[in-house]
Amino acid sequence: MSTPTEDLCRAVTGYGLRGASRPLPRRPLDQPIWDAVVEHAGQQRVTGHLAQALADDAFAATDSQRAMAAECHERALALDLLLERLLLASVEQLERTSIPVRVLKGAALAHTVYPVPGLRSFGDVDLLVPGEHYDAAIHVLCALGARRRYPEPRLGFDRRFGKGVCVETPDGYEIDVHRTFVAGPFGLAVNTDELFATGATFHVADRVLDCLDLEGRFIHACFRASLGGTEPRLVSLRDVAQIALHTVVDADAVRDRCARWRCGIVVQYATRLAWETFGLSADPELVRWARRYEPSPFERRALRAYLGPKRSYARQAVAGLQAVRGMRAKGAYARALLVPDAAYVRDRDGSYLRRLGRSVRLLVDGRAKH
Amino acid sequence: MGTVSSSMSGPSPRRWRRDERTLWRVGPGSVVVVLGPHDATPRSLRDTGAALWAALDRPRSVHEVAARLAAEFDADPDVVRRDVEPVVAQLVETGALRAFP
Repeated sequence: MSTPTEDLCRAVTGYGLRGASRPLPRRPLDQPIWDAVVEHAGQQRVTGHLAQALADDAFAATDSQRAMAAECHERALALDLLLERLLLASVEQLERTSIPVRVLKGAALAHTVYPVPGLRSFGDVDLLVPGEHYDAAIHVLCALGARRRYPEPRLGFDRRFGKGVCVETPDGYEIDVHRTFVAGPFGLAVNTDELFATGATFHVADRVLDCLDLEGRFIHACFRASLGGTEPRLVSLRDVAQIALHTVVDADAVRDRCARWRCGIVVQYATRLAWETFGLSADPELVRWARRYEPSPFERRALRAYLGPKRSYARQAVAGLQAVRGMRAKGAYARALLVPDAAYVRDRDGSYLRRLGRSVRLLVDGRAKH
Repeated sequence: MGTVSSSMSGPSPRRWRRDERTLWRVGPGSVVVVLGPHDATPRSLRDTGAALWAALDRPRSVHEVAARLAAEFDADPDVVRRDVEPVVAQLVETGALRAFP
């Protein structure tokens, strides 16, 4: 059951999408509802669409409400620029040490799939680095003054199995350094070498930056929209619809990649959510395929680790064992999670005993489901 | 600021354009947010400020920019020039604009 504020923000986020059907207000909203809409739009990073709908007079508002929305969006744009400055500095340092890097999510999507970058705001910097360069990349960024949030479970875990690490700069900005798209089985099933085999570029100021090819950006957007949290951010759902409806994404290439990475169910789930959320009627080939897709048992099991009230990093990590290829690798993965280094346990669980208790509960819970 | 003003009085006024290192975003409703290379925080340019930024996509003197904006907003060119000068000076100071001989 959604609130009027949430419904309005869905309509705002879908504004400009081909075939979006959720109506926008024809008369100015009462101030308390308006305040809640602007706050929610800010949290969901969709102030650009709100500002655009107001500028086009598609969303009725008073002058003071317009001024409030403009101010809120200007704050979002200001943050985007500060993050882009950080992005350029980070990429420059990584490239200086010959570390290949792809820009993910916010900045890459803003500059490549939206008509103007100001429509797509973001809250951190996201980079993708190959596993073999992963430790060096973290080292480079930490040498610039950034600090990693959590230690890795065991030496070498991040570069072999991890999703990535969040490092925080001294002024409080976050850089997510990814090795793959997501923790757990779906992230482990992605062939990360392929993410660097193809690519695209975009400009920020006087720099040319690398990002994933369009199909890679679309699949990653689907990961964010499906697996990113209990309630996906509206901006992530908009990304999915934006690429599916307003770019020339190649449906066959997406389908092939989904087969190799065992993630068709992720695209299916994300497109369904996006289409429901924005009330979309357009029916591109990619979405028709996703609707008909028959997920494998692996995909169905894997998706359960990410959804529902009991979703957690630990649950995804346990479910990830199925996706690790090779017995030796499975052993190393399980060992790192069962007996991680003391610093990691201190940070995540407090003590080995507490961690053991949590592991047993997860196992019991997992068995009860099968 | 002195750089901009003194360039105005000479026989060949200095011309300015956006520095390529500058980060900026156009927002809906005539606003541009600009972060020059030496800026600590981004600044917003609204309405005529946004039009000024648009005009500086190629080298232009303050006179030329003022004339363009005066025509666009149907205003007195001298008044516009007096408004434009300090904004250009600030943008020069933060490195958002660079000079062309």
